[in-house]
Amino acid sequence: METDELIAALAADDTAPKRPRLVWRLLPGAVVSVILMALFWGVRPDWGQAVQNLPVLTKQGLPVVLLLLAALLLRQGAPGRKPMLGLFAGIAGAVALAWGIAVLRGGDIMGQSAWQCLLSIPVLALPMAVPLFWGLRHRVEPQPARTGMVAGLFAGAAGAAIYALHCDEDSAAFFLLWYGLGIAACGVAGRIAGARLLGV
Amino acid sequence: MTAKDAEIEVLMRQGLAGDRRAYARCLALLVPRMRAMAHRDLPAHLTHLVEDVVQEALLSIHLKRGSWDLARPLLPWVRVIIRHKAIDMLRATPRARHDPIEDYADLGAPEVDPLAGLHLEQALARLSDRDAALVRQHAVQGVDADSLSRSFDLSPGALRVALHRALRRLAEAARKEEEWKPTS
Repeated sequence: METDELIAALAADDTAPKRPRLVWRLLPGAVVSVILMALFWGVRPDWGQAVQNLPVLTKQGLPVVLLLLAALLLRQGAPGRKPMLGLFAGIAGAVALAWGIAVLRGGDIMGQSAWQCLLSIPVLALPMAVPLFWGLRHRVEPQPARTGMVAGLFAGAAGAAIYALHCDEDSAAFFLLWYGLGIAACGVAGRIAGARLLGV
Repeated sequence: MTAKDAEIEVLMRQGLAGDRRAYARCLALLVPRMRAMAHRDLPAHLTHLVEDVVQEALLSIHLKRGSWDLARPLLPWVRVIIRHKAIDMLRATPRARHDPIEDYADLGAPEVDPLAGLHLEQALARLSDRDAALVRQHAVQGVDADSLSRSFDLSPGALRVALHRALRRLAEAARKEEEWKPTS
């Protein structure tokens, strides 16, 4: 087929161009996650007071910081994207270090709900991850695996931030490890999904 | 940005707003630029793949044009697509061997890709007959949708959707073909 014939066929297709609209796709997913958490997990009753302590504030705030960073990365369109993955590596390193210190000081690692935490974060991330990937499919992504990983980290961090409203394990040795693993698992899953679903 | 670049961008904006004539003109103006870009990205012995790269990039531009950020220049965005498609094409092409042909007296002519330039044709062949016919008919008859909707027995709306889906499948088929590796 000649190139000008292809152009004619493309110009004949007048279905409206699909826009990524990531924020608009994400918002309903976030609402679904919060509702799911409130219905099946339940907000911890003393959240308002607990969050004034530094460990709980860290547990609640760190995922929010992470999701804002990931959102900044995701907002940038294809050409001229600044690589900020070093930043994520830095955060992961700092978290690992802080976790090590917390363990050495005799913090409770396993707590009561390690598995519940590890599973809940991806489950709560899913309602946001699906529309996010759907939107990213409409975008030009020259590095699909990397974008997928950032999207997965975003959804995982958002899931963790929502789960932290429920979670009443306030030992740093617990939440740095299990939250970290839950978010990292979302990042890995996002990387695999990105390599398959996203592209140019 | 040259005046021509600005003109292409204006045409793309009009195309996104629904002006199909402007859109076709925009793509037609883009093609020489895209050929030049693909030429730069492909090594000298693979320049016969330029048109394949351009055609695949056109499909990608078309399907993802809604994600072009209107506030940013168009050509760097196109550049990303071309580079990506060229790299894909390189990966899919068996690495050229540079052994002197004299050492292989038992071989015939040097290896030439007999399917060069037929990439999109191959992708079309993988579509269902109806999808392929839809794309071809549109390509030949252009924007005259009325006669097409009669010949395919589809309402204009259904014809539009059918063409869009056929183009999406075509882009997918072209991409899948790149993933195909010869078992040598």
